[in-house]
Amino acid sequence: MNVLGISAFFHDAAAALLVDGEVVACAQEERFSRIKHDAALPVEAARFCLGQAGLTMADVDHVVFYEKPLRKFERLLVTHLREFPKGLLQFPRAMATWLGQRLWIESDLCKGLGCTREQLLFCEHHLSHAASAFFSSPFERAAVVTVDGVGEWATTSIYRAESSASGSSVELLEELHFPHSIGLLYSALTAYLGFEVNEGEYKVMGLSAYGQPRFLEALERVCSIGDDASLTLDARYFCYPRSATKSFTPELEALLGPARVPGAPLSFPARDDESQRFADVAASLQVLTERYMLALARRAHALTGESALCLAGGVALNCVANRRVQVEGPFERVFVQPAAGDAGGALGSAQWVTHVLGRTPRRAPLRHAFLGAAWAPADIARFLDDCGVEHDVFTDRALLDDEVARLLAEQQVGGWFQGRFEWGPRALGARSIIADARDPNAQDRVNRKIKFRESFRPFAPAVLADEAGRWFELDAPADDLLAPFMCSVVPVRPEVRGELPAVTHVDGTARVQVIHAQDNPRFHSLVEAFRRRTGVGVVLNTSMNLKDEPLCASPAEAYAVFARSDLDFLVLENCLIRRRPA
Amino acid sequence: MRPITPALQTARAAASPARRRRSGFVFVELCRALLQSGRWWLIPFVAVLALSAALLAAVAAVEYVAPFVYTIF
Repeated sequence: MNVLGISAFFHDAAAALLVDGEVVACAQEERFSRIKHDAALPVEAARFCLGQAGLTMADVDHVVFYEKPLRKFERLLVTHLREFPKGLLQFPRAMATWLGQRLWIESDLCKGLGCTREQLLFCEHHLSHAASAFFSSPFERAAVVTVDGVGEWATTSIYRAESSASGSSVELLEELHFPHSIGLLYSALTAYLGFEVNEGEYKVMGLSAYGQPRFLEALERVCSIGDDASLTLDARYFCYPRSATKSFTPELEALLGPARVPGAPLSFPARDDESQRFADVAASLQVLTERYMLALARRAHALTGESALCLAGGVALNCVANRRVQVEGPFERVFVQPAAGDAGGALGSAQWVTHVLGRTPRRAPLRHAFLGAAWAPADIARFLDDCGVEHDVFTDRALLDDEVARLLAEQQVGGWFQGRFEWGPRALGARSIIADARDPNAQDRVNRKIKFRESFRPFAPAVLADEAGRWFELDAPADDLLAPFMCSVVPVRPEVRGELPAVTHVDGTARVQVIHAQDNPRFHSLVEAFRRRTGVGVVLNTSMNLKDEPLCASPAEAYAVFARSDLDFLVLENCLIRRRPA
Repeated sequence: MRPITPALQTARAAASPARRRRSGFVFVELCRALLQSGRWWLIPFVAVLALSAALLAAVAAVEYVAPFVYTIF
């Protein structure tokens, strides 16, 4: 059974292909279109997925869209009626979008992807998220919690999922409906803090470490959490139900102070009261989010009695909250699908059709995220020759690893391009910028001169599995599921914080990636070479892209990053390019 | 949180199955979905919207229809 999952038309459009239950390929459209968070129909991503399996659209049994557009339209109508006459100006615009495009999704999908109406299926938004988390996990049965901005109506859902020889099921137990949503609260405050919605949420998470939650009491007036993990937002503070451009009202500014103007400087340690106030708002929001996620985990445990939890939805990308759920929650093990946001809906919808409707048995759980496209070393060498780029070709990979380890130990910063690119927002060693985690200047240098982004943002460490406990307060085996995908933030051991300044955040934590040789062999052998040379099996690992650009996919894009930034070297498979001294 | 009872589960599955019986017309499908989800009272609203959309499309597409449409309002 060949099933193609599609997510599109909101943000992070993606395609995922399952062949007889095996995940063959997954990719976000942004990697091909080079438009960050591209929402357009993922024609190129779908073409790549089919090509990876050697299939054509005629070979696909089902094309599954990750949500139900008619139910979403219904929500839009009901919401505008409820808000009438407040959203009157916005209504014609919303109608133009829906009547002009979104209501015709079936024909758009057929035209764009070349499939027939008979091939098309639709899966509910949160069910797609839930399926993506459960069927990618190693669990036979689990509670599943999905939390995001909003799907059709649901903003938060609790499921019980199980698989057996006779089939699989994902049963919805409880859900919370729009407009009450922790995801939309987070987005509204992301906008309040001057960051772009659906893009800047992880900046808010990074910013929160610099603040104190002194606005928590104020936020509790905005948002109350019930005993049954329900959440109620006070409508006076928000206008997202009736506006597509503004999400908070002047009342919120009266409560928290004036909103930050996008692009206004933020400096830490705070040189001005305003920077500190924004950090404090972020910290308060983070505490509230963690508290809600914990309440949800407890509710899911009470409803299901399961010992394992799967998390998905955009809020599940909040690694700090994930860690608290794992450590303080009632579940023994927690799994987060690496593409927990809307892109993951493409995978989940395909998995739901394959395993639940199609009753195809589950295959091995997702142990790595390298599901994108790869380029052959010979093609890369030809590309570099054609462009006249000087490079060294290493036929022996061990020599390449040794040379890169030497450059890193000299505190050079480089690009690392290997194999298939990652599924999800994190670079996990296939399209990474790497540096020496011991270098005290690395964070500032990579932020300012390489990625051109805000100086307060931290970088993640990638650590060898057998050395993780030496540096980080990891709780094996509970952390074995989150750490390989960089889905959890853990404390750096206090006694070694001074040794890893480039990857230790201001609050003494790090969003760690644990590297296992069997799942990520190339990156593992590089960090192993670095350990042989330095005695430290940790490197700084961040995504290979520049500010406001998607992660690199092809060698040409990686070379473009190298050419436009201050990277010292770039490794494209077995080719090493060094920056010539100016 | 809104509990999902077995009855509600069945109703929702009927209201929005993965594969709908397709009429080929979005308007008809939308009305069917609204009927099944219990929000039948939205159907007149949708009908007015659809009619307005059809009128606007007609005005945009055929120039000499416009004067007749304007007189309606």
